[in-house]
This record gives sequence, C-alpha cells and structure tokens, in this order.
Amino acid sequence: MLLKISDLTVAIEKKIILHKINLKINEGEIHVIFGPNGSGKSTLLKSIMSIPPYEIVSGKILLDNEDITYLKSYEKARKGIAIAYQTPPPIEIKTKYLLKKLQEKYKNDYKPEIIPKNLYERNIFVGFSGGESKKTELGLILLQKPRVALLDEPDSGVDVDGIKDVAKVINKLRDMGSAIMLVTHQGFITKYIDNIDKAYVLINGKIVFSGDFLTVYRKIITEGYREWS
Amino acid sequence: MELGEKMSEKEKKLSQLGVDLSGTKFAGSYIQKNDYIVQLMVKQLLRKNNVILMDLAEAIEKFSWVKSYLWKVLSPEKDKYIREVSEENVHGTLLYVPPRIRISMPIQSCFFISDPDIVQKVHNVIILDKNSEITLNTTCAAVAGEATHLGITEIYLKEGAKLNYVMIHGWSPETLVRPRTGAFVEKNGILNMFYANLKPVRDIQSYPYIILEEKASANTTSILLGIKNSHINIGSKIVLRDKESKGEILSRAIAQDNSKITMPAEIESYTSNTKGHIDCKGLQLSEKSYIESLPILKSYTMGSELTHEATIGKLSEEGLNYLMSKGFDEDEATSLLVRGFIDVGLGNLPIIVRPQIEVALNIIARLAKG
Ligand SMILES: Nc1ncnc2c1ncn2[C@@H]1O[C@H](COP(=O)(O)OP(=O)(O)O)[C@@H](O)[C@H]1O
Ligand SMILES: [Mg+2]
Repeated sequence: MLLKISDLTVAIEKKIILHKINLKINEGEIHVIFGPNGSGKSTLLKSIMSIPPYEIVSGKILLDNEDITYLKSYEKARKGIAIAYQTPPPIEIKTKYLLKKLQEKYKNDYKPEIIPKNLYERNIFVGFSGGESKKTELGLILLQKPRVALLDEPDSGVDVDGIKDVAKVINKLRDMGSAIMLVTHQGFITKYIDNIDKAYVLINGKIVFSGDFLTVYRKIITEGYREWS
Repeated sequence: MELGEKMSEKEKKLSQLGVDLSGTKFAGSYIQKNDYIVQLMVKQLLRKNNVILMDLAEAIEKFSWVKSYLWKVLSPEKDKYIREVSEENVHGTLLYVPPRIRISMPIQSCFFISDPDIVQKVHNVIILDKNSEITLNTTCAAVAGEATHLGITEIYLKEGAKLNYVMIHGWSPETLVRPRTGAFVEKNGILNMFYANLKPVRDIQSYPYIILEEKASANTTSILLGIKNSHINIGSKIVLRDKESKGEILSRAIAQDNSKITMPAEIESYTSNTKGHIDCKGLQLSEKSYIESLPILKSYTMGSELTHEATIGKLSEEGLNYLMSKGFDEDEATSLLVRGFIDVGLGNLPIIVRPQIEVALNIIARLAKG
C-alpha cells in the first residue's frame, strides 16, 4: 500500500474535527472524498500534509509502510506528497519566480500549460480569480511529480471549460502514477475523470460510507447528504 | 593586475558583490583600496567620446574648471564628516560625460577597506553635461576590523542628462560608514539611484539630498538588510524646486537579529504641478529588531501632489505554511518571501545593470533569516 491512514483523529484548538479516519490508496488510483461544507474534508487533507493548525490526537499515517505521521510538511512534500489548497493564500512572490524555484527543487523544467501565461508576471494568488487560483495551484502540483496528490476542491468556482482542463491534469497525474485523493463538493468534475476507484462520504468528521463511486455519486446528486446525517 | 598582494583572498568577497576585477563588463573601472588607487582603467569607448574618468585629486591639478564643482551641492558646514574630507586632498573619482554622449556600458567604481584602523576618505564628483547619459556601478566593501569610510559624492546633471547610479554595499560588522551625497538635477534631467546593503555593518548613515529643476525627476530605491547588530539609517531627501519636477523614494528594510533600521524620507515641493511619492516598507524577522519609518512631505505652495505609504510587518504565517507544504524548509520559505518583499520594479534602470542587482537581491534573500 502506498499511503495508509489508520484511525486518524484530529483536533483543532482542542476540538475534535476528525474521528478515527481510515483510508488507503495505491499508485495510479483516484479516490474521491465527498462531504457537505464543514464536514472536515480540508482538515483531513491538511493534517495528512501537516499544515497548521491541527493536532493529531491519535492514529497513524504510513507512506510505503514508513510512519510519517509527525513529519513536517516540507519533509512530507519531499517524500512525494503534494497538496493543492482549496484557497491558496495570496503571496507577494511573482508566479514565474515560484515556478522557477519549484523547478529547481524538483529538478525539472516543465512549464505546466494549465497556468495561464498572463499570470507569470503577477504576484501569485494576489487578486487571482477563483479559476485562475485553482488552475495555478494545480499546475504547481504537476511540477512536484507527486506520488500522492491531495486535491482540495480543484473544481470549485471554475467554469465548465476550466473544469475540463482541471480534469485533464488529474488524468495526467494518474497516468504518471500518482495516487490521487480528490475532495469535491459537488462532483461535476468526476464526469471528466476516466476511472474513479473509490469514493468516501465524510460527515461531521466521520467517514460514513466508502465504496463504489457511481453508487455514492448518484445518491448524492438525487438525495444530497441527508440520509447520512 | 595591480590589486595588491593580499587581494586574492579578498577578491572573492568583491566579486560576490558584483565587482568585476578584470573590468571586461565595464567601459571603465576605478578601484580604490584604503587610500590608494589600485586600478584605473579607461577603455577606448570612453576615450573616443572624451569621457573623463580619473582620480579627482589629479583632476583638480589638471583642469581648472573642476574646482567650480567642488562643495557646491554639499557644504562642509553641513556636518563634521563632510568637513573632515574637505580639509584634505583625497582620492576619488571624477567622472565627466560631454554633451549628448550616451554610453550604455556601465562604469564601475569600487571603494574597499582591507585593513583595520583605516579612515578611508573619498570624494567623487560626477558631471553629466547636457543630454548625456551614463550608468555608474559603485561597490563599497570592507574586510577589516574597525574602520571608517567617509564618502562624499557630488552629482551635477545638466539639462536633459540622465544618470543611473547603482550602489552595492558589503561592509564588515565593525565598519562605521558615512556617505554624503548631494545632487543637482537641471531641467529635464533624470537621476535614478539604486542602493542595496547586503552585509552586517556597525553603523551606517546616509541621506542623499537631491534638488530638481523644472521637469527633472529623481527616483531613489534602497534595499536595506539589517543583520546582527547593524545600525542602518538610510533614506533620501528630494527637493522639487521647480514646476513639473517629480520625485520618488522607495525603501525596503529587512531587520533581523538585533539590528536597527531607520528609513527617513522627505519630499519637499516649492512650486505647483510637482509630484512626489514615498513608499517605505519594513519587515521584521526577529523579536529584538527595530524598524522606524519617517516619511515627511512638505508643500510650500498649492498644486503639488505628494503622497506616502509606509508599513511595518512580519512574514505572513499563511505564506510560510503554504511554501513549506510545497517542500521548502523554513529558511527557504523565508528567503522566498523576503525575495518577494524586495522585488521592487527595476524598470527605470537599464537592462544591462539588472543582473547585478538581481544577484544582490538574491544574496539578501539568502541571508535573511527569521
Ligand atoms: N483554523 C480553524 N480554527 C477553528 N476551526 C476550524 C479551523 N479550520 C477548520 N475548522 C473547523 O473544522 C471543521 C471542518 O472544516 P473544514 O475541514 O474546512 O471543512 P470542509 O473542508 O469539509 O468544508 C469546521 O467546523 C470548521 O469550522
Ligand atoms: Mg474545504
């Protein structure tokens, strides 16, 4: 197993947000995590990546059987885990400069097509539209050539054409062998993703369902999350 | 190359700061170590255009007209450091560019202290005749113990002349530094000054004083890194004396360790239709650092448009977390954010000098630590 999360319980400011989460994923798989607002989807991805504020109360995260639970985020990144933020923060660094630094760090000279060229000279995420932020953030992930990609709602606020571009990148990542954990709020993007191996439903910090993707998706679009709440 | 016996170990420090000892990248080169000149190179490009680059002390002997430019924009009465230099016949550069001569290849000058207890006194006079243009790169450095640098620079830009003046400083933790700069810019003249301090220094204070005639403009940009116990007090004053003159003062200060940085900035307008802007930002990387921003705007008549913005802050926690999640450790993430902080536009400087400035800014980003 590439990434295995067992009984992960996470708190923010002493309040338990995630309860005993169990997940495992292998190379080239795509797993989708569904859940209503505030159910803990972002907290799950951030705590896998060690992005504050969070506190792991109990449980384990294993990468290739190595315990990485308490590693710092940059150590996890260097081991091949990458995260695309739901809302990346505005930073006073030129987009092209961060691209260059990531290319140096991950030793490639790849220029992700999905990042609009007109954003290169601008400070990254400063005044970007929703779609521009998502595309740029996803593009940066490609540079990392990750073994595990944690994608936090890369489709939210993106127009239809943009969603196709985002899906293309996800398919590409998978073809490169990345394991993908895709958090999506409404799931429309899954239409453009070739094959989804598994789906989870997260409600109030608990995984209430895991199994076949299409079964869950149909249920969510017809009934919403009511039945699980 | 006649750069003195101990040069080789020190060469490295100078070249890190962008000094080109071979001079290939420059149209002319003047290097002064302590109080003697170790290199004076004037290439054909300068000679054929009658550009004069020589030792000021020699120039005073040789050309009677030089005297009329001495102590005109800086008065020895103004402070004791200027007076101290004025009382001796010191070395320094005389740079004269004849009318309409525009040289794009920069000239370099370098003032460098190699031994302790030296008081290096320098007097530079830069004269750009009508509609001429030149770029001057000055590097100052010390690799000694306690030492003092007193550097006087008088700048005269005649009508329509343009000077791009890049200064990079890399002192040592014991150096006391008192540069004194004055500039007089005639009608339509343009003065662009870029300054960066890269290394620890005991105490540096500098406050260039620039007077602008009609339609003249000046821009001073200062990037100040305060490391260890450095005391840095650097800014500038621009006097908008005549109509339609324009001044801009931009400063970025990064204070870490126990450093103290003061950014004085003043724009003073005496006529209508002038424009002035001050933009000073400070970034504190340590609990014990100190930053002071002192923007002053004065308008003596109606019709000037003067603005300023000043901020002091710390690195964004969110930004650091974000960058660390991309694989940058804390120091790398700090450097990236600092690099962004000092990424001021260099659009007003010629492309040819930008790589050297980029190198300096990258050094600052690398040395900056929280
Ligand atoms: N920094 C924080 N401080 C306090 N509470 C937080 C913080 N971040 C998230 N939470 C809380 O944790 C819960 C889960 O949030 P989140 O993981 O962002 O949900 P989702 O991504 O599923 O919308 C919410 O109740 C939210 O208010
Ligand atoms: Mg979320």
